[in-house]
Parts: sequence; structure tokens; C-alpha cells
Amino acid sequence: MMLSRSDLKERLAAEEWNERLVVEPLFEGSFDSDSLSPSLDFHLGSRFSVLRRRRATQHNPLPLEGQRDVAPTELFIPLGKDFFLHPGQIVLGTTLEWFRFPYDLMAYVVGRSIWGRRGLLIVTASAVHPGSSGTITLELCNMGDVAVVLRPGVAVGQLFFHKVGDESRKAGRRESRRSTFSGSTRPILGEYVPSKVERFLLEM
Amino acid sequence: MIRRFLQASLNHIAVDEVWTPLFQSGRHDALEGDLISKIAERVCHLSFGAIAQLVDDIPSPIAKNAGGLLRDIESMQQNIENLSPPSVGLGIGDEIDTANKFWLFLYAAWHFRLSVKRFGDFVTTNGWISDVSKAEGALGNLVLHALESLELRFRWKSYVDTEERGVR
Repeated sequence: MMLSRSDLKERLAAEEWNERLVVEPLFEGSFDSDSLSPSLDFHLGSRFSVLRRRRATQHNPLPLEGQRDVAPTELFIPLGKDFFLHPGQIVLGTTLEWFRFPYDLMAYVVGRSIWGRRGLLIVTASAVHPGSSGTITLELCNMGDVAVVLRPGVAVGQLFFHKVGDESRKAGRRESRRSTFSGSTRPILGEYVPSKVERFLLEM
Repeated sequence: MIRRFLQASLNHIAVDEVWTPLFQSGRHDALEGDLISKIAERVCHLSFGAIAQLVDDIPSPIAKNAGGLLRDIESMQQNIENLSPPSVGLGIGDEIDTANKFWLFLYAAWHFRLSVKRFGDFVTTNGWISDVSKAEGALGNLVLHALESLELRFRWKSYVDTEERGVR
């Protein structure tokens, strides 16, 4: 079930941690609960990870012997400064906001059309799982023919929240979060950890 | 020995649970009677009275719980425990009040880190037992994000206040 604006307001004000949704910073007065839109806009943060193409020519995140992945370089672009995303380039960015999800909520990250119509994709792995906490990493890609000028602070996307069900919340009480990215604020590529099935298939 | 002197002169410090593991180790008590221990005892005798007087003359705002600081610190630590930046729920006051939160964040974070129970639970709950540095990294990220957020919220409030006064 998708959460309405008033549901979101309740979750943001919830006293109990197992119900509480945290968005920080949430600018006072900017979250208009009378709006009909069920989404919550988020803003582009200052931390970027740019993939350098000089040394490695291909992505290979699989932890196999002798394989090397493209190494990223981290950049900090302060508020008020521009970042140019060139045609065909993909960089990792983050949200300005820190999100802390209770175990019965998840969200889908969706780009705003004002940017999408100019060729900017902001995300490929769009689901934010229950219990996640940290800034959300964005995969920014310019699909257009000319550079896109990005400035930290612009509202590049929005979140649509969904209730997962009580089973998820019960699981959250028993088990640890165990997310690779919990508590993270850096746009990192992440270590590829194959599942048992993947290991079986990859090593055949 | 230090525990005894702290309890006698500065008990409000000695009761803080972050010192418990140090006091309960028992290693230092075993040295009593040694020459080093006697020298240490003499140093404690000479210094603790003066230190206690100094601390009492310049009271710590936290020890005196000025303006409900202990409540704010507890709130910050509960936020950290739940992987939420410690700035969440803090109201925005004037510039000095907001700037002072910097020290409060650092105090809360260090106190949280030194608490064996709280930090241990934080590590376990989030599945970082095999790599405690991830927990320390998350703690650092939470504090840094709180500082950035507090500044942004303060600037936003100033911006809105100025706009409402019709200056813009």
C-alpha cells in the first residue's frame, strides 16, 4: 500500500522507533501535508563518485582472481557550485537528506520529469529496502547530447513510500539490519557479494 | 585508586558508566603496596583536591544539566542507536545556541563510543561484529551529517525569517 501525505506526516512524527521515518534535514514548512502528492522530494547532495577510465577499460565487479574493476574518484562539490555531467557519463551521487526507514516501510526512488526530459537519469536500483539508513546513492547518467549542469541542493527526485506488512517489522526486531550501506553517506560502488546460487553458477 | 579519589572528590564523574570497564578491570588494585602505587597515591592526594575545587569553581554545564542538556544528550544517543542523525528533533535557536550544539554532538558521540554497553549493542544490532570500524564509520557519518543538517536548518530558518520580514 502506498503511503499518503498524511500517512507520511504521521510517520515523521511517530514516537516509537519501529514506526518512525527520519528525514534529515527536513526544512521546516517545506513539507506541506495539505498537498495531494504522496511523494517526498529529495535534494542532490555534495558528494560524488566519478569513474575514471584511464587505467581500467571495463567494469567487472565480480570478485574473481585477476579481475579489476574501474576505480572511482570521490569529489565534494559545495552548495552553490556546479557539477557538469557530460553526455554518456555516469557518476554516483547522494541525496542531501539522510533517510532512516522503519522495518515496515520501503520506498521507490523516482526521477523528476523536469530533469528526465533533459536526459538525466538519477537511479537504476530504485528500491530502498525496509530498515535502510543513510543517504541514498544515486546513479546519475546523462542520456542526452549536451552536458547537464547539476548543482547540489536541486530537487532531482522523489520517494514514493510503501507499507510492507507486519511480518517485516517483526523480522526487524529479531535480526540485524546487515545492509552493506547502513550508516553510509559516501557514494560508493559497493563490494559485490555473490549469493550461494551465483557462486555455484559463476564457478561452473 | 583513581576511582576512590574520583568518588571522594568528583563523584558525579565517577558514577558515569563509561568508566565502569576501567574501574572493574582490577589490574591497578593489584599493584597497591608497590613503590609506583605509593607515588601515584601521593600524586592523587596532592592533585585531586585542587582539581575538584577547580572543577567546582568552573562547573560543567553538562554536570549541572543546564537547560536540560542531559535530556538533549540522551535524545542524541537514542538517535545514534537507531541510525538516525543526532540533530533530529533538535529545535533551532539563535546562532550561539546552534553553534554550541557542535560540542554537544561531539560529547554525545564520544560518550556513546566509550559506553561498552551502548556501542556494543550498536555493533551487534547492525551486524558489524566482524568489522567494528564500520560501526565507527557510521557513528562518524551520523555526527557529520548532524552538523551539516543543523547548519542547513539554521540557515533555512534565517532565510525564511528574513523573507517574512520583507527584506528580500
